[in-house]
Amino acid sequence: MTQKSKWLAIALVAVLGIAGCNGGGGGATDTVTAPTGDKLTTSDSVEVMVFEGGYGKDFYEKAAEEYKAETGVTVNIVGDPRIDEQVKPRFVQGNPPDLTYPGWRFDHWKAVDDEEVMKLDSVMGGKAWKSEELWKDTFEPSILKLGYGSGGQYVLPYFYSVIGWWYDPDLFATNGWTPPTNYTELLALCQKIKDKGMAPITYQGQYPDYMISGMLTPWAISVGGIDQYMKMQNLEPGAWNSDAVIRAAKMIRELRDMGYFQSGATAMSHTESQSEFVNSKAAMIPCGTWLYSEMENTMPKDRKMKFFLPPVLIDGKGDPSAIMIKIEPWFVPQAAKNQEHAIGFYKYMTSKEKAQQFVTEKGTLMAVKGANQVDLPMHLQDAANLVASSSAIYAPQWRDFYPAMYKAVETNITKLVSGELTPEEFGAECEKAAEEIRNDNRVTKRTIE
Amino acid sequence: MRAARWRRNGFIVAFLSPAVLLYAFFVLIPFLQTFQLSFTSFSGVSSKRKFVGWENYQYLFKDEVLWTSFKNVAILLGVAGPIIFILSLLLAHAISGDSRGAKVIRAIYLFPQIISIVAVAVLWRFIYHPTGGILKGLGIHGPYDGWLGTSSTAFWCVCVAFIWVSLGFYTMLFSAGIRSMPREVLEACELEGARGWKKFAKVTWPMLFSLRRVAAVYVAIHVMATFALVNVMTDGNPADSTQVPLNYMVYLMHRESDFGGASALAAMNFFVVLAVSLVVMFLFRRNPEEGRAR
Repeated sequence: MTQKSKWLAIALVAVLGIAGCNGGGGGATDTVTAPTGDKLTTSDSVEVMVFEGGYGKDFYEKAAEEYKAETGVTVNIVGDPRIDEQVKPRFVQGNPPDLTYPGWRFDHWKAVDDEEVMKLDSVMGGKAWKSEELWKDTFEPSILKLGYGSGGQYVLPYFYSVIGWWYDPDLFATNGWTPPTNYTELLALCQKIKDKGMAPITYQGQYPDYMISGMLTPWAISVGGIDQYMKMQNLEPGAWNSDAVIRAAKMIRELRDMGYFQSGATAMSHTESQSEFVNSKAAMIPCGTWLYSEMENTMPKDRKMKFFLPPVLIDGKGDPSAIMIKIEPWFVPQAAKNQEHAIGFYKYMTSKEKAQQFVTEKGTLMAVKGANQVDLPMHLQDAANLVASSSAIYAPQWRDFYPAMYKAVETNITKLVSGELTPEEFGAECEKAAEEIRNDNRVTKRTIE
Repeated sequence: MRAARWRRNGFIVAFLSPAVLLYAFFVLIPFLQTFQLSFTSFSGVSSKRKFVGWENYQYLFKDEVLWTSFKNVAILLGVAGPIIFILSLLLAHAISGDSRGAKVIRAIYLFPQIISIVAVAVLWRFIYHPTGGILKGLGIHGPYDGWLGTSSTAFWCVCVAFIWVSLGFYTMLFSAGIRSMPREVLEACELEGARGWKKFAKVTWPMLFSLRRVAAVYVAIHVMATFALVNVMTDGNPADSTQVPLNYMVYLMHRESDFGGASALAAMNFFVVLAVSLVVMFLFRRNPEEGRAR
């Protein structure tokens, strides 16, 4: 008889197992035919899931209220610092939100590969929010194109960050230092700072991404030009073992060998090293324009910070105005139930008026044309001017396209900076990693132009 | 008769089913799904998945980072494991008395255990911090790149933190064992003049046999489950020198959207834990004292 109850339990488990397995699969939803964001007639609500980072979600919530007043459509904003953990299962269930900005921990290009993301090319050719202008023409073209991949405009930018170096204008003025405009000046300035007993440069060693973005990349572009960088991004044979990469690696080693990097920086997290910078233990740090808002609550009162371009070679082949930006990806899922309103709401959010509001309220730059022409806080002014006057705006797209390659370069740059690899070995190791990815048929290859 | 049997069986099923159902739903099914997923190309961002056979395993076997991570847990097991084992045993023996010092230690030894593991990791980051750390404050200058920034020191620093945080639990385990020993045996031992080391070696150690076995299996599982400490202290850095399998699994899942590969790693980790546990149980299969008594 106990045998019977045992079988009963097993049967229950089996039934649950089958139910559980089926739960993950289906869920195909009807999609609206050719949504444009202009036919705002239905009253279905829109669900928007957003990454709640340093800029919060209050702006989107307010925009949702205004949008409701304009159109009568309810927009529900769901925000969380780990929203990706909620967004991923929704995609797996086939029940994604209508519009999402899931943050950097969501692999949106993988979702594009899996045909989970709506292609927006035709929508972009439609009218912008309450305007006669085409929607695509309201974005900065160099920034909009960063959402283009796999033959379509799948991802749209909103706010973006600019990557460069930072200094404290008061500290520099007191000591008679000026931010270096090229690598030769950087070496001279570092010596002066070191003589004063201060660490010239610190970096976020635990996250080598900052070293790749703030040093290796601008210097490789300076040596080999932006074309060389595109070859690196596209993992072309020999691109990572090129003179450009090796010379850039040598510059990093030189700074280290001269004692211009803060001792122990390799062990520091981003907040730890940034604390060293805002507490004047180190004079310069590479970082994005999010630095100010990230450190605002922990830094000494009245602390100022200003932005400058990574100091490149005087005689470099690359465009000295080249500047790196990083966008935050927004997209409409292919299986969204209310694509029409999702697009409508995003059109509203990217209207010039709303974009300018975002810049003013949140202190970051926007991908919408004319949005940055407002009174900017000090920490953004130089970055905005440099972007406006740059003839070579680029983004590290290979970071999203080839995460395994990025990890390999992160590992190797840590070894380079600690002397475990010579610059030549660094180039060879990176090339080896690139070759592995080239031969890995699981990785979708995309050409970055 | 029949009705009585039904009642009894109904009673058993009623008591068993909540636990069985919860276990099946939250443990067994996800567990089996992990194995299933390890043979697919699941990205975790859509329901699409393709059967790829052993491909995920083949790629993992070629992955140097995976071997580094298994090497690291082997070091934790082979070096930190015995240290935890010996220190906690000695500590448990030392605090089994009624001296004032023993009472003080008894009151505080579980502190590391009750602090959240994330807080422990942050605390040890502070200890090792290259400019403001406690070690630096004590005049102990680490390597140029900092204790946690140098490949040759970072993992040993994690080991020390691991030992510190683990010690309390095993001390508690052994203390409980010592306290549950028959008083008369210990008293007889003391009457015959055996104290200190002799008492430990001749009475305490042999009588703790079954707990030693439990502790050894626990250490093995505990080591193989290391995640949060490494994730917060170093996230596997510098250059993967502190990587452990579970942290690498999370990396594969989130950074490379390779749920298939991550599941394969989880499955491999499961078999390694199983193998290690079996080896430990084999080593401790028979109580040597039992044979002697016969």
